[in-house]
Amino acid sequence: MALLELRDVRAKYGAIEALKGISLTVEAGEIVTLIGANGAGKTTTLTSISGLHKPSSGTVSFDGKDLTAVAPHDIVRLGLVHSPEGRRVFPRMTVAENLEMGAYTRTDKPGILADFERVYELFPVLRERKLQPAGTLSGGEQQMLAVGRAMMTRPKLLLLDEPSLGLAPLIVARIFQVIQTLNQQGVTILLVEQNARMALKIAHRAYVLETGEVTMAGAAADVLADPRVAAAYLGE
Amino acid sequence: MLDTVLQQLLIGLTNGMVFALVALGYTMVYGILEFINFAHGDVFMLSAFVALTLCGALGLNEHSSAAALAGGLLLCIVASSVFGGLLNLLIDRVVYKPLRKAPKLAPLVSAIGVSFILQNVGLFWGGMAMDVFGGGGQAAAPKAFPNLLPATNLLGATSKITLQPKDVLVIGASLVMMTALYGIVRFTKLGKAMRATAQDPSAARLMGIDVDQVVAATFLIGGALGGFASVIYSLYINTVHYQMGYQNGLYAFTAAVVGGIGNIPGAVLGGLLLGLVRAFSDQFIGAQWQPAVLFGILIVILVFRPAGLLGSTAREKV
Repeated sequence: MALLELRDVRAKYGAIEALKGISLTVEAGEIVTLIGANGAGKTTTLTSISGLHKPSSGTVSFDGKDLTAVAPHDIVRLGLVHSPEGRRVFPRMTVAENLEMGAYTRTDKPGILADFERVYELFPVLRERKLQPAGTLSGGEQQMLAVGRAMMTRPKLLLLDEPSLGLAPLIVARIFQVIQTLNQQGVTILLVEQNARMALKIAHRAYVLETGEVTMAGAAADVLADPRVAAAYLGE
Repeated sequence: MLDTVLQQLLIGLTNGMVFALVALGYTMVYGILEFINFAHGDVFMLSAFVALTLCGALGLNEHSSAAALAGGLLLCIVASSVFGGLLNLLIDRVVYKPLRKAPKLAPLVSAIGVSFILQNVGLFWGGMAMDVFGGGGQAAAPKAFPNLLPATNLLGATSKITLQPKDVLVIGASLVMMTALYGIVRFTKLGKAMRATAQDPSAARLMGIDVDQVVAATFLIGGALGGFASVIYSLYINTVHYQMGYQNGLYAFTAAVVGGIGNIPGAVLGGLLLGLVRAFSDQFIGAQWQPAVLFGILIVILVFRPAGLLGSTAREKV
């Protein structure tokens, strides 16, 4: 059984149908990437999973449990966390407080402390700035904080929306490295990316979205090699 | 001259503390929902009626024993705070919550409506034939609130400055409440969830914070602060009146905006500033000019600092 399964998910904003029946699966241990142009429905797919924007029809099941009737704040407790587009750190809270908010649903003090260490080891800059308001961090640091905050929930599945957006190439490389590290540590990842080439290089499988529909699916290497993908998303 | 200045400083400070406590209720709700709970002042007013009714039921007056007065005062404070908190929460659940996703004018107009309804409740309450209200009849008349604290001058009978036990209570108790609120917001899990929700409700949800619960807690705490303020205010001015929430609420709301709406230290600063300006204007310019002077100064402040004294207009890095 797949860790995450979407079956014929449709989502609407008013009269506009953003998802026209998406079906996809993510197996435990995988990195799966969703690529596609702006407005293809990538972000809506993620918000449909995390519950911020409930689907109008179709089912989302995680770990064998139907999520469509579960409130977003309860979905986190099941081990599914969504790190949203644009980082969305709490700007007037300190770095440490932001990480603490990631652990909001947890009560295992020793585990939380260990995860603080884990995040600080992965991103030493966050340790240096732990008492600084998150709004004063650079874009790259904020992205690291957003990933760290999501890690603090101890997720089985991490939904990452555009982690490379607006960042310098060196920082992007670092973020992608961390995504792979997390995956090796056992976190399953569903990654939405504009930077299709980078995403396809670290992913196991990929789905291509066009105007609310899946138009291609397969092993990431195959998708990367597909001439249509190269023409549309890789700038070749 | 110095005596006069010190006396007005004291009056301004005590009044300002009350404005600040009420302003906190406005600013906390605004911080999270970006919505002005215009009924907040009337929750304050009805809480005062709760205290007044309790005093009547217990037969408290100047002639009661010191122990009875102290116990009564404590009971009034607890009862009015609990009442204020619960009433505010009830209003949110029944009136505002169904309108959470409605256009912003809908909850605003509803809040003004609730304000008028509560004033009518206060009018009706004041019209009840209770001894403590002077036997009923005059529903709209101000009701005398008993002196639960001795009206002695702590600085001695010959001093030109009057400092009564109630002044000490107003300032001391307000400082305790503000410190407690600061502690809650700064250090507790609930307080952090409140700040996170105020800064980004969607991101808060994604971290597992039940935003609805946070909103409920905010209304509860804000209402309780208003209820608490109503007791010390009633003690201070010795009357309770069904329109006392309207004027004080408006002043407190103004204080919250001048301090920077949504900003907790700002509400306290705005309240104190308002109280002080009011006291000095009454003394040196004339009480008949109070609203004009007060709001004139506030407008000037807003012209130069549109986001309020502690409000931030600086954009955060995206």
